[in-house]
Amino acid sequence: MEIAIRAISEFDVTVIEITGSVDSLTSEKLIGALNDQLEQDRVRLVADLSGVEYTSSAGLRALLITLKDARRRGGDFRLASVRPPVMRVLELSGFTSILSLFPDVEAAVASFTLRSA
Amino acid sequence: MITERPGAERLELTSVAVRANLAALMGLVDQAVERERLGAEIAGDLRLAVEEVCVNVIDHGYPAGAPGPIRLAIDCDPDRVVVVVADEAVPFDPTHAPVPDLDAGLDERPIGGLGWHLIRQVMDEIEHEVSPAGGNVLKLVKYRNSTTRGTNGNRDQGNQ
Repeated sequence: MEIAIRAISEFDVTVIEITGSVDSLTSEKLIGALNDQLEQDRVRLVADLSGVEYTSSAGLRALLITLKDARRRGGDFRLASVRPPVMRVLELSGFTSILSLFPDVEAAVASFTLRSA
Repeated sequence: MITERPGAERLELTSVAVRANLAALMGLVDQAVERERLGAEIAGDLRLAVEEVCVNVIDHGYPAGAPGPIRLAIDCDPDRVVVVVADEAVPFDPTHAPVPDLDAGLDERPIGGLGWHLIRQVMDEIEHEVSPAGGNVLKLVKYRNSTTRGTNGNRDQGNQ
């Protein structure tokens, strides 16, 4: 799994581009990278999941930890470009009702200007 | 009772139940997927179920610092894929795993506790036995064609 981070200063949003599998072998690295952003007061986060074809409950754990922490800090954690296999796991786990999902990164980033977060 | 049919091609690996061996265990699933040319959806379901089961054994099966063996076997026949995970850990019946509340709000969602739920959702049959030596033998079945699903068992067996 690879992680690339880019700040979009115009919207005060940070995009975390994730590529590969988010599983028991990689999820701790993801939790660490996301937590690093929150610790630096970057609390408006978008995960670009266009490069993720597989996740397990370890990945769900990473998403939930980050979502709870971001909301607690007054921000949010939103998902973009979720591929069908990952969407299936999100749906089976009831995560689609607690996470905001967007068709692409641009829509997810723009959503922060439309809704307070 | 999930029976292993004659003629099924078996892939098997026994290793120590530690995180460092998870990639090798998952590699056995990749071998089965490649050799049997399993479709993307079945492959994804098998990977998910095997990862969840193996991680449960690795993280919770044995006392900390004293890991024991885990044996993964995958049998493929034209109708189905049968996964067997055996260990010598404390017996644990997955039908006793709590069912998560999928409608809970964010504040009420616990971190974790979704592994067995996902296994039950993506596999067609689940059967647990305590082996004579005292460990666990878990059999998971995935039908290769959805039209043959359920002819030999109950999809919700793991929930009962």
